[in-house]
Amino acid sequence: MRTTKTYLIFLRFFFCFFLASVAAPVQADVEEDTRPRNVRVVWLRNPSTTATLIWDTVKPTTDNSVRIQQHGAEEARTHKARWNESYSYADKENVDLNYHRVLIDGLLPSTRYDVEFESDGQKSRRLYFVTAPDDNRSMTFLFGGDSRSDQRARRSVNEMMAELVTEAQATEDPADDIVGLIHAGDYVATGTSLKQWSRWLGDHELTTAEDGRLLPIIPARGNHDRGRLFNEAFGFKIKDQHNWYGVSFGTFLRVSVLNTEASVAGRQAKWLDQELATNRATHRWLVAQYHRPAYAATKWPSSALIHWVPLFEKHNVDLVCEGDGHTIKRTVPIRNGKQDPTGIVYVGEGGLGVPPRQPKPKRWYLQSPGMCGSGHHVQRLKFEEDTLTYEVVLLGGKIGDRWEKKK
Amino acid sequence: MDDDQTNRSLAQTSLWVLRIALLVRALGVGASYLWHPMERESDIYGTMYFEWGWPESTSLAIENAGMWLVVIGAIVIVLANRNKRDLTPFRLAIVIVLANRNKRDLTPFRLVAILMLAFIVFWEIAMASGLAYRGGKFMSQWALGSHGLRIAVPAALLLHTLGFGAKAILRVLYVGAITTFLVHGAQAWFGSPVFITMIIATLQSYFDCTIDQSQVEQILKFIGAMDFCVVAAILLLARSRSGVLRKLMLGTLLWMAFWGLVTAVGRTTGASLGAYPETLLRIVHLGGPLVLYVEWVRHQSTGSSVAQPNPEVQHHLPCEQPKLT
Repeated sequence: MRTTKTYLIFLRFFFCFFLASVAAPVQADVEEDTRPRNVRVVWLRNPSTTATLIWDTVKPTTDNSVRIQQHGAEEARTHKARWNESYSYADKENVDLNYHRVLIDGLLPSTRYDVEFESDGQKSRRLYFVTAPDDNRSMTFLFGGDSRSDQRARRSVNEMMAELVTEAQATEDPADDIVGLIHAGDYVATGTSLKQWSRWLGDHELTTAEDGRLLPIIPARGNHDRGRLFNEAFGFKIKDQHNWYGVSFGTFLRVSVLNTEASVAGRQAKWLDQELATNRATHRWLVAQYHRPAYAATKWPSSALIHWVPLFEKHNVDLVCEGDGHTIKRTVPIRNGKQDPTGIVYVGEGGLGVPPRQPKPKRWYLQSPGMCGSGHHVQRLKFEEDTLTYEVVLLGGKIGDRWEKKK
Repeated sequence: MDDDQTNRSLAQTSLWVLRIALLVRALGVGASYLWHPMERESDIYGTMYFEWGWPESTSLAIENAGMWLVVIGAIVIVLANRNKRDLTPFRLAIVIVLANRNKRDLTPFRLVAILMLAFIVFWEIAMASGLAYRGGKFMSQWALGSHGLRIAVPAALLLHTLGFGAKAILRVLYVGAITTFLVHGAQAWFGSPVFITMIIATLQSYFDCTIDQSQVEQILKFIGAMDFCVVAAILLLARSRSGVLRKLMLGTLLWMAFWGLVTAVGRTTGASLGAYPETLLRIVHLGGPLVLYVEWVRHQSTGSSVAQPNPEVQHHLPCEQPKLT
């Protein structure tokens, strides 16, 4: 009898110990599931005064908000997330991921805002972003595309971007400050795969500088970004099939973002004509970005060659940024299908995390003074009063190409 | 299709239509992937390099070798089927390499034709599968369907060379035509951006007509519906015996051939003359339905009791001497 009692006591003790050991990780998992992650700032409208802040949680959460505070100020505001949804296609791959979105306006230009994201009591670390200037000061952007199928390279390039942001902050020239990332699309290989998007969004956090500075993104849709997840990831309306828009940085720079996955003729071409006509008159620098290239380094030219290039030439766009080819390219200045000193230079082709391809250097527009090459890279665009400086920063920090355009 | 077609071969006209379609498509393949100033790589290269992680040089070498084989193969098919068999150095080379004296029915030319056609069919399936696998284009997951006629035309010639009768060959062509029209119809119905751009550009460039995108989207709905109707008509009328229905079938096949040509040409008119390979690539959309039309007319004129064996097939039948004309 006594033996049985001892046995039962031992069994109870063991059971309690077992429960305690199991319960602790479960509690930790719950915290992990509601922890704000994949934090990003997206610029779709006026970046001097507005910002779209988006973050994700693994599990659905009910109480989601952002605490935002102008750096150095005492007063802080809390914005409740108005859009809290589960990502589309979650069932397809049995992935849980939910997005929470806040559109903040009334911000001050060129101002640092500290932000803290909270979901069901779980908080992110304290991060910050800087709104775009609107006083026509010089500024720098990163540009790139195609980060879809080489995760290791993508993570390395993202880390390099964070370093570039940190280095730029440390220089004495405020014009070096990297304002944002212009992304020409192809974030993932399969646009309807939430698993792939989840990985991309997680990796995008690596662009956050060591001190917590977030790198705002100006996204374009690529040919692999089909489906709703692109819209959900970047704060577009869920059924938006246009995804073309313009972002102004004061009257200094206008970035026109186009969508080669919609018809390039018709509505979009009309919009582009209007967009460029209006903004050419008011902005010092005009830049267009989109995915499928008109002057391709490896592929067949997209229909942009027929429908957009004449508009770029008509309105004297200063630079056109393209993706898709997985190469590095800078064309000669082109007008009317020929090299012309008054023409437009097309740069890009994408290398933010894809296997790089060998370009086709025999194409007339890639020959000197143009260039083409291969390698993981990001491109740095510095806009000053009279000069646009373009550089290709290869993985590792080496400068692969440099070119200047004078006004 | 009736049972009497089982042993009958295709008409010479049909065979030549198939061969020419194959050759023109092969020239389009060559231009697109080999010698055009804007030549590009197919999804076969894309799959090997991007998806499977093979070295780029290997992927490129395989891609280019495959494309050259398609071009050379198509030329060989046309040459090897000439009735007058004069011994050119090219033919002589093939004979030396592939002559097989023990099997008289398996002539070197036929053997080469079979191998080449089998490779072309394989390559076409690989290109479509690569596109379906990699994605990145509107409804590209259905590429095996939209490429139906690209696969069916060489497959039909392969079956013919292997000695199959018209019934099997026509079945393959019907399946190819049906899937091609079905998927392109769906693309039109759901407003393919490429189709929208193509229509707007063609109307602007060649007819000086500016049309609103919403109108184009309506037109595309109509085109999609037409394609679905064509597929339905073929499925319903293929075995019809009534005179009116047979005429309707005839009209449907003629429409398919015409529409195949229009949409193939539209690829160039919707871009620029430099985009001519895009038309050549799709010439099988004319060739496939045209063969179906020719065979339907022939079938109607000969009736079900007449089943003349084709001399060209006769020499493919086992254990018989080739009868060359």
